[in-house]
Amino acid sequence: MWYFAWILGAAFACCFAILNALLLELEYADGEDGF
Amino acid sequence: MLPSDSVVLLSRWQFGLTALYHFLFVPLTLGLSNLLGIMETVYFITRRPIWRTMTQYWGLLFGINVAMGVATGITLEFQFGTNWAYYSQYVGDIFGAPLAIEGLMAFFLESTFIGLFFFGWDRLSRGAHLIVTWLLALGSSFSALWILIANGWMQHPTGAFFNFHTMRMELSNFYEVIFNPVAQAKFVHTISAGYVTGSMFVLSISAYFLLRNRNVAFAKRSMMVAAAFGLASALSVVVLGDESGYLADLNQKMKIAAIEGQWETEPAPAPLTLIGWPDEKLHATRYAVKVPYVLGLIATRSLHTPVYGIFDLVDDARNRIKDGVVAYTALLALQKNPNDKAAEMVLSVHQENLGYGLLLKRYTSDVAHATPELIEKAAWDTVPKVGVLFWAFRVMAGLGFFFILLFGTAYYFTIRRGATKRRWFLWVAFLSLPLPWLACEVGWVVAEFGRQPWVVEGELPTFLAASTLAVQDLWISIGGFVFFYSLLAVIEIFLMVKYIRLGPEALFKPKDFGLNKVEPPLKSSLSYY
Amino acid sequence: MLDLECLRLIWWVLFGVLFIGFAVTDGFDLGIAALLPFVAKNDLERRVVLNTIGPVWEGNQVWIILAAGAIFAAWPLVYAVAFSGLYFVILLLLLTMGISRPVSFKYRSKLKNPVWRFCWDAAVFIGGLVPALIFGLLVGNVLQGLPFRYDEQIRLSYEGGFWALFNPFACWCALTSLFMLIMHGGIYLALKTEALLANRALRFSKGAAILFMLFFAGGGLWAAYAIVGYEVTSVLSPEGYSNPLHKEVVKRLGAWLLNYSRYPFTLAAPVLGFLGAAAAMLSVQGKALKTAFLCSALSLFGVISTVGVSMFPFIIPSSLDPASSLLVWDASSTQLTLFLMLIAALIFVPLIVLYTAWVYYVLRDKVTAKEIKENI
Ligand code: HDD
Ligand code: HEM
Ligand code: HEM
Repeated sequence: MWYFAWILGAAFACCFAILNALLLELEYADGEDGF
Repeated sequence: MLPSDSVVLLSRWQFGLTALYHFLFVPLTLGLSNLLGIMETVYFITRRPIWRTMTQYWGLLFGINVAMGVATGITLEFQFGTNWAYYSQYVGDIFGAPLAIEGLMAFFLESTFIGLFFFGWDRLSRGAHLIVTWLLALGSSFSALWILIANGWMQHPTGAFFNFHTMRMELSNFYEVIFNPVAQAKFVHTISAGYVTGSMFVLSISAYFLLRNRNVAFAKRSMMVAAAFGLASALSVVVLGDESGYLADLNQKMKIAAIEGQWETEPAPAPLTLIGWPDEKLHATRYAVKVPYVLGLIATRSLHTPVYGIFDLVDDARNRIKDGVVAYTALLALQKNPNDKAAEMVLSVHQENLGYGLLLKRYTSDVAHATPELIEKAAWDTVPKVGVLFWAFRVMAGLGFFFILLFGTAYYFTIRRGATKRRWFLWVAFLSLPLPWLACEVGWVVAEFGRQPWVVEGELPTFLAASTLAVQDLWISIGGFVFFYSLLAVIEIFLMVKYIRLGPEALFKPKDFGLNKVEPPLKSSLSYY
Repeated sequence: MLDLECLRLIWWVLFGVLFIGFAVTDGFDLGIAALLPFVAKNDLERRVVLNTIGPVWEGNQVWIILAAGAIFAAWPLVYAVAFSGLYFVILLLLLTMGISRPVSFKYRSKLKNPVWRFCWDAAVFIGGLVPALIFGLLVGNVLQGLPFRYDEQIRLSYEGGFWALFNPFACWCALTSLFMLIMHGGIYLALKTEALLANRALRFSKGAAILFMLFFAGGGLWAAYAIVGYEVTSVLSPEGYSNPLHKEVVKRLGAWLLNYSRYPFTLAAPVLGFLGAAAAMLSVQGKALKTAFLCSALSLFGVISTVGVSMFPFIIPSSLDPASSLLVWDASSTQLTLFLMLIAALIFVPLIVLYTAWVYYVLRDKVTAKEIKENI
């Protein structure tokens, strides 16, 4: 069932990217400008 | 009347060129639409205007690309009828359905919401616009899904049978067509390749901004998203590439043998030929460097199954052609008298090799009495161009591992917040921009070239499938496509480069890059035509 | 599962629905594109005109993509004959509508250079004018039959040239279709723009409507009394295999009128074609533009139904070997495919109509010069 794997995988990849981005924004809120 | 050899050749060139051209724009659409969804989701959550600006800027580049994707896709859809008329008639009962469903389910979704994506910023609430963006991404994924179900069926035609009353293949089981394992693996592999392409696009251009020290806040955020999404996708491409190979071995042994440049059957467990020089005249692969066990594991998932070589597969084809001649003879009898029960029995027993019998039509109209020499020739026709497949596959797979490395590094540097300081890395990321396109194009060459001489594997040879046109018709149409598509390619690249070099700072106002929760009024000139 | 005869009939109707969907939606943006150089006098006005259709033309165009896909799936033989036989006309359609139009909309305003903009405007104009003509041209030729035949293995050959397609009757039909779409497009443009542009658009729309009614009447008389129609003379089995070689067909003057005498209610189709256009003009006079748009849509519905009714059960007659003609009863997919496709259509078409309507609702405002100026 690779279709199913796609749904999970794509959802995972998107969430992974969103969470990483939010982390960056959190740090900014703490006064650091990332990187 | 059959189309002449040159018509077939030119039709193949025309389809191959326009399809490969279409696929320059498709993977970026697939990847970028998801990245837009991701960026806008972050905007939705944080309310920081910079994320909206990111969505709009990458969206602008997305729009330039989509216009070309549409302009090239319609060509493909029409070409099945214009240039592959016999194919359309022979398998339209099965193949047409996914194409039509693609229109119903995907193109409408994508094309309707793309207008709203650009024109809806100041007309929709944040939430509604976010949904529109995700629907756009969903539309492009569905489009890939259905077209690859169609393409997967050509590689592995399940759920269908040949009907002598109508002289065509007809659908018997739609479930098998949709859940065709080849289509599934193809879909996930190809769509992941699209995600990798989109991520690479954002990664490279962000690296370019960082190298120039421009738009740093903008570029960093874009790079973070691209690195994370790209890493996940690059891993998935390689895992699913392996799955594609495994499935290809179940139903297209010849393709695997050609990819491996493997002439003799290797006893289990077969070694993997890492590199070598396939020599099609000598029928051997010279200077081969082999890694023991690996191919057996990849292609058969076992240590005890042999991987067949080209010689044995040709032997097999020869037998199937002989059997196909029997089926074809019965078919002729049925055409004279559809009620001939004996012939119907014979046909039903030998039906699975009818396609092999058709291979002989290239050499003789009297298939029923084909000589052994012709059968020998037809049997060797089942071998695709070994050299092309061998190298194309190695380029793709090599790039696959490189992408994992690159996105892994990118991810590591971005979470350690060190990417801006490493100029060598930024250069590598920037220069890698064209590589996913290269991998995608050679990927299709492996899949489509490796299917030759079949247009539908084992059922319909390519040379029968073409429309009966005149040679000059094809020269004119190929000339037209090359001319107009080259012109458009120059224009599209010019616009892309122009807007990338302008960068977001030239297109937006300073407050659009803000990091506070205030929302500046939005009137984006970028939306208007 | 529905029986094959019923499914074939349903798909024949759906075939019409798709073309009507296309004509009503994409028809207005083709018409507007063909009007572009005439109604808009300067760059600002041109931008206003382009932005009336800017957000929606792409979705509209999918109707024709879907129509092609649906013919492929439901009438594979028709798809093969029409597309390969009419090779260069299809490629011309592709070039103007499929290739240069999508790009010209998106790229036009990306640079300020007037030459650049002029070229893309020309592409938009051609991308409206030529397809509007081609659709009529195709109908005109199909009504006369196409020169193709099948051999006993059902392998197709087509024996006609490109220039033969530009015969007088087909050209007449081409103009009919152009005027029809200009009428339709003009009304939509007037709905979406303000005074000056709207008035110009309506002037063109009215003129086109009158020409359209004249041409439609003329074309009808021509098809009835001077164009050789086709008639099936053998007994047909509507449930039979999709093999076009098991029937007899004759060519006969006046055959395209048979259905009207057999089923008089079908006369409603041509009547609707006229009345719709006339009512649209009356509503324009009374400034009821929305009603006018609806009436003109009904007129398109009437015209397309007229073609369908006249030819039934023929889809593409063969002028070379009438027995090879493609009929509703012998050119379709199998029962299973037709049934599955019907289910897909029943699920998705309402959804499409729903979200398309929502998009039009969101974008319901008029496009004004002020708005465009603010956004330059
Ligand atoms: C739905 C079916 C389908 C799909 C999704 C694709 N193709 Fe394909 N391809 C065909 C159906 C097909 C075909 C109609 O079957 C052709 C024409 C002649 C032939 O042998 O196969 C073909 C030929 C063909 C060739 C020439 C092979 C040869 O002449 O030996 C190339 C290079 C490609 N294709 C590449 C692509 C690319 C880049 C695609 C992605 C957009 C693609 N194909 C999608
Ligand atoms: C050879 C077979 C193919 C045909 C006939 C075909 C047909 C089309 C058509 C008609 C369009 C324009 C739709 C519109 O107006 O929105 C289109 C666009 C598109 N196609 Fe294809 N296509 C083919 C192969 C593929 C493959 C293999 C994929 C994906 C893996 C794909 C993905 C897309 C996407 C994402 C779009 C959206 C527009 C864009 O790319 O920018 N297509 N295609
Ligand atoms: C180790 C890595 C990879 C392996 C083992 C692999 C394997 C394969 C195989 C076996 C096929 C042929 C499938 C068939 O014949 O039906 C294929 C096709 C393809 N590959 Fe890859 N691949 C790899 C990496 C990549 C990468 C990195 C990309 C692009 C970014 C890519 C893009 C494609 C595309 C677009 C196709 C054609 C569509 C399809 O048949 O699925 N591949 N790949």
